[in-house]
Amino acid sequence: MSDAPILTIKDAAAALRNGTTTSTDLTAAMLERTAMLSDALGAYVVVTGEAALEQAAAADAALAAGNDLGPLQGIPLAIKDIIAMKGAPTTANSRVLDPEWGAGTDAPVVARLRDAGSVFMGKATTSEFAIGLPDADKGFPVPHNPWDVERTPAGSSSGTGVAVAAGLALGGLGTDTGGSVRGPASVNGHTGLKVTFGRVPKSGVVPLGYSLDSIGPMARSAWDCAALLEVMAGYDPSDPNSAHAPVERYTEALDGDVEGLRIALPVPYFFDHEALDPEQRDAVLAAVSTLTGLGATSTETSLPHADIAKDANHIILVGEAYAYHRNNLVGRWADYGRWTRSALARGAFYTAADYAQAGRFRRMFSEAVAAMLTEYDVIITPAAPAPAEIASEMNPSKRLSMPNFTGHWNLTGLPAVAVPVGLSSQGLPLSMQVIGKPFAEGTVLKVADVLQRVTDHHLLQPPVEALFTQAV
Amino acid sequence: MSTTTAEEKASPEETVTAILTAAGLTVSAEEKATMVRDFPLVRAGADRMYLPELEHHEPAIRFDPTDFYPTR
Repeated sequence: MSDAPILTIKDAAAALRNGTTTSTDLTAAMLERTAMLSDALGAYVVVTGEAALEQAAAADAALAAGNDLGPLQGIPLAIKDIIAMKGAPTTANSRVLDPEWGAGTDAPVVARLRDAGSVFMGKATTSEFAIGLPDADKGFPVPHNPWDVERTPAGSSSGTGVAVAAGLALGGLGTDTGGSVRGPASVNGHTGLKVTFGRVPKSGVVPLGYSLDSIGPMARSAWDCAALLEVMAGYDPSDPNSAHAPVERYTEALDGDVEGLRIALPVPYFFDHEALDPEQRDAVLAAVSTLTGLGATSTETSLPHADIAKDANHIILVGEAYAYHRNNLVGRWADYGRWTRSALARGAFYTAADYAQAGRFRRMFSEAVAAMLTEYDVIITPAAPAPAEIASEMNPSKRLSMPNFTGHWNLTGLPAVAVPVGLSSQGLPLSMQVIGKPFAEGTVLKVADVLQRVTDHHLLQPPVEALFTQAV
Repeated sequence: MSTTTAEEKASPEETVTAILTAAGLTVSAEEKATMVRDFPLVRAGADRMYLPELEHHEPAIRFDPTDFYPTR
């Protein structure tokens, strides 16, 4: 099998319509590739190959009959395994979750993608319950970074990130509570959008942090994420936090024009932290320079208490997660992965007052960010402090003292997209984050798209040929 | 009546033991050792949020009692 270029959704959609390929051929090739990289990358918990080929055949027949449902028709996608999907179990990569959870149902967001004619490759690996680190002892696949299998693919939407990067799906769904879409997108070298809180209904998803969770699109390009979001977004009464805000034609917002766009660069913490990798910082600043060369303006500024926002997000996240898991942690501690249970147990170490205080901080910090976004159209930061870490060197304790550049935007509920900005000297993806006002997904995607019109960082492919094994 | 002074504050080990007991969590000795080691950092993260300038801020929690009644 050759390591042919991995298509974007946009290119695949065009190919399906000009007769260059069919969804059946595309899906079959991806299933073959998935089988050959299954052991090395661990991207999927379950591959629903037969159903995928049926969906692909249906898409081909519909297109042949002139029934065009839009660019996602016939496109193979990966669904994170904390999201309910008909025809496959939802495990949350855990022995603890009731095997009947979500059985036989599609989460609203999955139903929308199904109605749009998408093809579901299967359920993608996640950190257990979207928190913690993989525990190989629990019997679930351990995901690996396709750029270097000794390194982490980040979490918690690890499998979707790996699948998109390695060409085992053209796009997919992740969830993001503190950076779980943007982290995998940043270290696996593709685009990932954390949406405004409430933009996409999150019912049918195993919760992590109720007031922080969101479902976001992950794909190679900003255009692909825009196409996914057009289908995913919109009110649904099953989610009490679902927003009534109108859904834009996000792909049409990508007009290639950043003339006059005002970019804020919050330097303290985000650009001067001692743990920030200089290559990551320089790649982000080079991307900003590209944008200013196209007519945007950038201004160095500061965001008060940016260092504390990470803690506030963490306290709210583990507090809400602990509430959900409390009874099972008491009764089934050993059934959780060792990293998962330790991470969740932190919820017991904070008080109810700490949770309320985090809420008070959340308001003040949101006001400060809102004030910044009255003067600027977007905020740009690195998406992560550094490229992918060595997996065996990671542990939750280490994370306590590491900076985090993503949780701030869950705390404030804002849209934020992770965009590839090159490779490090070690050949690892570097990534930038673009943050916008509430429901300004079109703006942050436009910035990412402009960059992707003049660079090819998002099209770089990891060197996975050496990982191919014979298909089972 | 007995009082507790700041100097008599419980150690991380005593505090973690008490929290785990109250929470009903049965953890391994290794896990507990990690929790004890991390506890000061975990608490520091919470203590940092008690900023004087938050005095007049309400938590960003929205609760609407009308959510639970049918709209007319």
